[in-house]
Amino acid sequence: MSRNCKQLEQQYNIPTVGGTAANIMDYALNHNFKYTNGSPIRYIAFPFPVAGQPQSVHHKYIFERKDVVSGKPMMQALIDTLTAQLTDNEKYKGPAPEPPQGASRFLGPDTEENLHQLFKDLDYTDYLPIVLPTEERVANMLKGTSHEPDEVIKTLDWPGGKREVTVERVATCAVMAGAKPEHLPVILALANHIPFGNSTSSMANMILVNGPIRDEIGMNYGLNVMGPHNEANSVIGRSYTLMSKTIGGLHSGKTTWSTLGSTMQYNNVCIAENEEALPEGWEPYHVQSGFKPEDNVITVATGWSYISSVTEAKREYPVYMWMGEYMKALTFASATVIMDPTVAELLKDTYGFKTKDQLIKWFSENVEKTQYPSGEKIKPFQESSINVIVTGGGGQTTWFVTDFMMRRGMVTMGGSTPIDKWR
Amino acid sequence: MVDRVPLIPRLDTLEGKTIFLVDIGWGGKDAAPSIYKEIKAWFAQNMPSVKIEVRGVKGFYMQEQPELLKEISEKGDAAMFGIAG
Repeated sequence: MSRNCKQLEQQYNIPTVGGTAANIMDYALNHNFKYTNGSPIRYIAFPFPVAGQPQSVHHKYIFERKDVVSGKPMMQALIDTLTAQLTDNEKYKGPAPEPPQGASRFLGPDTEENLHQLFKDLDYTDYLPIVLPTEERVANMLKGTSHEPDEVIKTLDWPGGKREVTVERVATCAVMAGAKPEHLPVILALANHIPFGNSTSSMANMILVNGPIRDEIGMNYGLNVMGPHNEANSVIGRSYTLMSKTIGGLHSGKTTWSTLGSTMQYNNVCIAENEEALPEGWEPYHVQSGFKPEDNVITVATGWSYISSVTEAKREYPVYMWMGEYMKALTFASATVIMDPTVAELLKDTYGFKTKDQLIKWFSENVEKTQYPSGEKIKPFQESSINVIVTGGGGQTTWFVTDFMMRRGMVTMGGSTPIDKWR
Repeated sequence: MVDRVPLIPRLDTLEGKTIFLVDIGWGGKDAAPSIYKEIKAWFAQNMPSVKIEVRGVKGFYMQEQPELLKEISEKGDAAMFGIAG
């Protein structure tokens, strides 16, 4: 929105105004202005929420309510944004004022209790106890990689930009999360995907690890794979949260406004695929994505939720049809089905799906949704937007249909990142 | 922080002008289109010389919109982009 305003003003000399709900005004007027846009876009702001409100509410917003930015009646504020003379600040062209000096790499000495409180005050934690990242601990963590501490993995420009994600910063978060040096290559690869999903709709993420490194660092892909029962799964998943909040700059009410939030963001559904339990002919996710079986790969998906099969597969209700029914409930045309190996075997042996691709094709060709209000039937799921992950311990024929969006075949951005280069 | 870019001068008045209201697509039909309907009604009632044109962005709001910006520059005097939230 601010980008459109800036372009129209600068390229075509047309005065503009941005309209937004009040919840993101602080971001628009501060972070976005200072770090991304640079143009002092004028805004009017409506009470939150806007979307989904009845027409009568929107009528009041325009005819009766006041602009949240200026406090003036809404339409007077709109008119003023397009007609009131520019202030000196709005006329200013040139370098931004010097930013305050960045924080030192080191904090002063203090008690352990006070330092823990400081990290909480800075919103640098998930409010579970962290391991304080002392110089010694970070140096030890850095033994987990051959990369230099000041190497820049990526530069973030949102929210509040030009912050470098360095190897040392990632190692610092890894320490805080309770990770060990052997976890660091995976966490460095994961750092290519920060920050995590951020939307008022309350996003979550899923982290999937494939390749031999699963065993090398002791990841769980058996019983309780999605539960709090394994150190590597736990600390890698948690590190994603801590990196997203600290380096990523996501702070509630300032740069993230997820209305419900997600408890999945404590661990980000950090799992590994049970590649050894795949039925013959079913490829691991990373191989489906073009990697070699011996490659180590981390994949990050964004979504919101999952629906479980609750109990076990039923003879009277073919399991793939049941999954398809659940897929109808997903909002977007993207699905990731996470299933126990017993389900995968059932799908192959009983229902004849010789590969994951065959199952995906069936979903794409048969899952039908009804458009509202037209009643039109559509088949929204393309094969490329459906994924199948096999994990778990064979304890029950259980599966989860999720709305996690995995971008099969894409490297890094929203997709997969090789781990071995970060050793 | 990025370099500062000034706003361009504002209009003397909206009377007789054409304002484009652009829906960036966030929140679906219940967000910007609904608000814009009320804005259009307000102008019709209070400043009838103002002409309102409503448009939507093409595709996703993060995509560049060269055709839309060109149309606004040719037919419009001012524009509002929204609604985000």
